[in-house]
Amino acid sequence: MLTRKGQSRRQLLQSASSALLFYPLMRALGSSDALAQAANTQRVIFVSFPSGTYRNRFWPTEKPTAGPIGTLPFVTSPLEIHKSEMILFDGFNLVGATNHNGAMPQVLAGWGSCSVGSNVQCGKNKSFPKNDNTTTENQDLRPYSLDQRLADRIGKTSVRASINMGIQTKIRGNPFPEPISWNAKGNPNFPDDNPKSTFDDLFGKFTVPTGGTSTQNDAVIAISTGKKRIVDYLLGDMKRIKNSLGVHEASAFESHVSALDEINRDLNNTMNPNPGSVVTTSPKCDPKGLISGLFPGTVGEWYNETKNAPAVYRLQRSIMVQAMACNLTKVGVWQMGCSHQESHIPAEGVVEDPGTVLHLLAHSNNDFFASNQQGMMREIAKMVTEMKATTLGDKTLFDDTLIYVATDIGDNAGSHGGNNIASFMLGNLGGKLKTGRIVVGNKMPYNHLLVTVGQLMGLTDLQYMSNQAAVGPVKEILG
Amino acid sequence: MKLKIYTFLISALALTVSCAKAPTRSSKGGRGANSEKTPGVGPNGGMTTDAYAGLTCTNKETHRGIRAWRRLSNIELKNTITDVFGVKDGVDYSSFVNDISKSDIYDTAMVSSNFVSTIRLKGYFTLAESLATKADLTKLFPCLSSGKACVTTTLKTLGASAWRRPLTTEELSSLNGVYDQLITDGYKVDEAARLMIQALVLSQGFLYRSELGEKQDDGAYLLTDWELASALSYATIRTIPDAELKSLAEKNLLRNSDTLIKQATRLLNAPKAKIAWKDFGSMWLESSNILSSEKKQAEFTPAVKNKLSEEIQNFFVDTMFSANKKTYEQLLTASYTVGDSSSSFIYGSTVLDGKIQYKEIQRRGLLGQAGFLASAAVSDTPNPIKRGVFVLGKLLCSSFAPAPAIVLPAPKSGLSNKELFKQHSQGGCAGCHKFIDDFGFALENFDEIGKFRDQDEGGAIVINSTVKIDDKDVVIHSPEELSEAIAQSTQGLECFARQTFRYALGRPEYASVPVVGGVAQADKSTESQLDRCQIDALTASMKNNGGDLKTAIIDLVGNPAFRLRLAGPKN
Repeated sequence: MLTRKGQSRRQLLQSASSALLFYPLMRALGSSDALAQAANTQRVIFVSFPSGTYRNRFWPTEKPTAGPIGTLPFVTSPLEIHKSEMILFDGFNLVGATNHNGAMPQVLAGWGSCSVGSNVQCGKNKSFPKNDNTTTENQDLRPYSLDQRLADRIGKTSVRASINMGIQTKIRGNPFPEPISWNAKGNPNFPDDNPKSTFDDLFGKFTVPTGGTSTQNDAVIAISTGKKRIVDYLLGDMKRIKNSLGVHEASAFESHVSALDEINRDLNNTMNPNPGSVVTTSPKCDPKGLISGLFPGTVGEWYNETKNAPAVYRLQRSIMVQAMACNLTKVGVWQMGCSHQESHIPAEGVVEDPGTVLHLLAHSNNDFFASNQQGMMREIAKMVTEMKATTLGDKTLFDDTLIYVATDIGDNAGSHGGNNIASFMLGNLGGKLKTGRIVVGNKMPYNHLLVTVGQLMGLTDLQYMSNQAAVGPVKEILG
Repeated sequence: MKLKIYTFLISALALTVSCAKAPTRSSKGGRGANSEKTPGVGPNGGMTTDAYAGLTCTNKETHRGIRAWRRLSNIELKNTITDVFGVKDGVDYSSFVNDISKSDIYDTAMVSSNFVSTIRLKGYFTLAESLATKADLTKLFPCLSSGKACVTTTLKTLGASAWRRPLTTEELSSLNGVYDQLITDGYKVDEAARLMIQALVLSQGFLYRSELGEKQDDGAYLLTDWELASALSYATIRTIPDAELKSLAEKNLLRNSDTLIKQATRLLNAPKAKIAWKDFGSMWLESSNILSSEKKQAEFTPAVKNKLSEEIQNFFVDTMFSANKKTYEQLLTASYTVGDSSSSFIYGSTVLDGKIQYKEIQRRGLLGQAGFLASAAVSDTPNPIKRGVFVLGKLLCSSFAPAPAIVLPAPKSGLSNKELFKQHSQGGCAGCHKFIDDFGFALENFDEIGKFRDQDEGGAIVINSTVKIDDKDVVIHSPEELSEAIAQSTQGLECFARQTFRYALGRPEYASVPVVGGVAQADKSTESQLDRCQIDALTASMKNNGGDLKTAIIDLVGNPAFRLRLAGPKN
């Protein structure tokens, strides 16, 4: 029996709808009066935007120049209001695989393995040791992205180890529907493109029942029992088939088991709150406010329709902030499209060329492409503004959050190369970081940026990201 | 004109390739796009070269397949839910993650993007919850009130229906154990029964199709009768085996070519077959591309775009199942398409008996359809590159090297569409674009919405393309000559066989394809040799049968490779 305090499971079920099987928010709300404060309250949000950029519209200077951030040009101009908390990077290059079919695992994993004989385009970074690597030399066998490393470490006790949302990443026309997130086994961790689905998963579909915190907790545990029994059965079910499978089925099997493990982990976190931890929620934790009238559709793939794209950005932005405000997770990923985006994904206020999809636009330094990118930066800026307006304890959400933003292709988007990846950080981690400046990489491998973010978030033992020859953080950032 | 130049520039940039080589055959391998070609196998996975010495390509009896464990596609899963549980309304599929179908794979493909990831599994949980809530327990568990014996019996029968095979003793015991535990936990019998429905549909036994087989004396793995019943049923009608198939499986009568061919032929005559192959046609010909296409013409409404998309699917199904000539040639050279008068502003034709008779001799078959022509265009001009890529990729099964960094010549004003696009087919770009663009230039008689034209920028449209088909240079002077050349080619027929192979077996083939700008590689691996032999056999059968479209799938299920897998878990 998994019930507590002498109540029968049936009694508990009577106090809560069985439809609440998936109700992680109850855990957070119900635990707010629990035990002691956890030491580490830092959060991190990773954002990617697709297809590279163009220097003159992204950086304030014509050439890489370290020092204070000047007036931000068209694309990054929405971030002007937050640039005092920004570190803008200039001159960090990908090593290994580039192009639409090679660069997505670079964004958060720094993984640029180029298989001999493949069609993956591999760049040459002249400043890098053994810089002509068009092979798998120095590369880990599989990608393991920073968000998942952090989810596996600091996300362990959260209701959700991480959340991962995307804008039209799985539309049928995208030739390379790769995510930026990869788990410890090297399996792709795809984002959820449907904000309604993310909302339901995080916040549930129904009203929080009344009856007091302990009753809620008991009800959550009780109604989760059935799901737990099923998940345990499914894990055994997968074990039974394992020995019958061969090499051709191995990856599919691993991916399925990883997914089950993750659901099991979240379920265990829901049913067995970590002793000694407390989940503090913000007064602005109010996901119900997202429900009414904000979802423009529920039928079919409404979230993949161009006309709904601005609403999808808005919803995902708000869900991200609410997930943090309700303290459901400490690690967020927001993937704005794929490298080769064969659709329109305009954020609010974007001037669109209705006849030309984003990938085609990216091939030239034109106003339409710049407007799309500016729209994405505006969404990031709005997210920061919302986080600054959301208190959690005696701080704002933004105070303890690091936002890392990067793209997959270099500063001449039409060339498909990996030189000078547009990237920046927002947040000073409670004053730990010296912000409001540009850090110049001088063709340093991009991997060092990821190591730096990992170390800032507590992965002090992280020495390299995927490429064993790119060791250590960018000391200038830490200093 | 300004917009036209602009769209030219970005379109030209969209598919630049730096090769200086003619299209060559290349095996697939590696990561990224290529990992999609290597289902479930890493760069170093799979079998070694010459792992199967018994293969004689020309002898079908020596053909063997690659073992598989296949997730049901979303459409297959919905069909299965409906047919097993009798529930259609109220089941929540809204959290399903898209199956990716793209240039050379289908929704059935076991490639990484279609694997069960966390987000996909959560969608299944949502489905299972809603199904369990909506399921009619009086039908599924009719004797529930009579106790545990009833539950055991029901799990056995319902489980067999859901998993498309009898349950093993161990499986049944495990399910009974879950039920008992739920009762111990305090669940009522009806609550526990609904949770058991969830367990059944979330099991790999339901979500996947096993094609693992049983080891034979010669080391090969022969699919069980139940596995064959499912493989055959999903390949032809995309849902569970019907009563006749189940009966044959029960009697162990399915493990031979003749029966499989006979049953495939029977199933292809069922109404469900047309619906299933409409899906195939939609994915192969990318009929949904037109839905996101924007044009300046006011008549080009969402309703018209829907019609144009359906036209592609309906024309394919009509040709495969109903036309006088149900052949590949007919697909390419028919003088009509299937549709209604909503697109008459494009075709300028009358509609008779659901068929739009093409007005111009130049407009033929698939390549005359407005849905294709308008989707392979930008808002105000045709796009010869996109049209060329479609023909090469979809109809001739070529693939392309990735685009490198290239500085393009600046476009000039006052030029025809063809002249504008020709500008970038110079210098470093020419290496590949001369093989791509000429296919598109051959269709310049159709504007951005697919309307016929013989003038562009005040000048007569002159078509004089040289395209490579069957490794030969073919000179084309009109759109219908292009349709005819593809219709008569072995490469075209082989490509249809490949598409059927990819769809029905749920994986891209290992056999090499022509690559524009690629490096020539032979079919060295055992997998690629096996697939090459089977595709050659399918093509030959189609050719011998006058290009009959159904022949590809019928020959595929009759081939020993459909029921015999070469490798097992230990080899």
